[in-house]
Amino acid sequence: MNKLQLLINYSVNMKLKTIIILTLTVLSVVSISSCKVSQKKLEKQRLDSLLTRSKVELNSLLSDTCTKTLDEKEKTLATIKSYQLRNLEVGELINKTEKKLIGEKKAELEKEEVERQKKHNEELELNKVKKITKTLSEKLENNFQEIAEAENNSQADKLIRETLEYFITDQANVLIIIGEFNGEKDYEKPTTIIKYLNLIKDTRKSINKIEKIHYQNDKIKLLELKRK
Amino acid sequence: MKKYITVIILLTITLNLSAQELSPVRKQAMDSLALEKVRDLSKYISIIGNKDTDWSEANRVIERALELFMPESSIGVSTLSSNQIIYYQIAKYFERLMQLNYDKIKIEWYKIQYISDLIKQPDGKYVGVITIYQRFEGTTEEGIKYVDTTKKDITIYVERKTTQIDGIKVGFWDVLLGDIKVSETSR
Repeated sequence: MNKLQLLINYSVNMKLKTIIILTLTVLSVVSISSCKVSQKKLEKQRLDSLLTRSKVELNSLLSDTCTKTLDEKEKTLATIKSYQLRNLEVGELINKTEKKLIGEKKAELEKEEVERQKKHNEELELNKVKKITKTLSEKLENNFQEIAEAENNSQADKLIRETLEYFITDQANVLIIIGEFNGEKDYEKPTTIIKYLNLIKDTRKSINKIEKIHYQNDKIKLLELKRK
Repeated sequence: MKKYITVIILLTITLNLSAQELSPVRKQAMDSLALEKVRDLSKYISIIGNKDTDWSEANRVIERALELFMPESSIGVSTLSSNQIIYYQIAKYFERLMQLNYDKIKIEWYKIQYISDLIKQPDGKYVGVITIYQRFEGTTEEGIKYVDTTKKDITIYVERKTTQIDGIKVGFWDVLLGDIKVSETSR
């Protein structure tokens, strides 16, 4: 009897264990399967989100109101391309954006070239003006000295007439800087070129040097002088 | 407490006054400019008085010389033969100088210097006095020479003004000469 009882107990235990093991196995299979489904769902959500964001970004890049620099636009496009999204609409947008950015790059290079050329021309013009100014300054200062040292009035007057040829009018303004103090220039009372040349003639002294020449149509409209 | 307030007020006034004063270098530039104008006048007087100067040229120089003066300024004229000093309006003086009855005239100014420094007045103008010595030498047709040396005091007015020329803000010192008084006459 006892043996029979033991056998029955053993048989019940074994069944129970089997049931438990089977239940656990079923549960883990279901769980793994459910996890896989969840992961796929998450991946899909991520891709959908990337697609939406990429479309928005690409449309923004294609818009004329986009405020990003060309460099920033290129970086954004490269990032979107790196997602390798398999979507027809995104693919088309990427193509359009690439074409647009190539155009923009070309335009920017052309603009840079125009600006470089403009700067180069300005430098050339400035150097030309500087050279002319230097030559003219030397010529004028030389004339001033010759007027001061003229042997007689007629010689001085001849030099004055010659010098006036460089000015738009004999009434062209002359400013004489007597000093610069804390960035502020002190001038003599403004005068005209005819009066200044006559002053040199009358006083027989040329005490100022040329500081700056202001031109108008290749002639001097204003002369800035400074004490030597 | 009252003492402290008084000291603070005095200090503020002193600081304000010193802030308005010109730096010594700037003042020196202004002094030199005024001296330069007196030197210019000496050249003009020499040209106007010179009998070799053309009439038109003398008139041009008179115009320039008049620009150096305050309106209504006068100049004292003395002679060795009289103690009297006659004052002429500056334009009249130049006209008279041009017509002096000598065959040759030589006028020289020397020892041009300040006897009273340029000092700022309540109206903002600077006023000073520059003294000069004038040697006059006149020779008649007959070869008779008249020579005298006169010490003259010239009142100088300097005013700060600003203007705009071709877009450039120009702050300038307007130097004008006032009355010229005779202080000594000798042989």
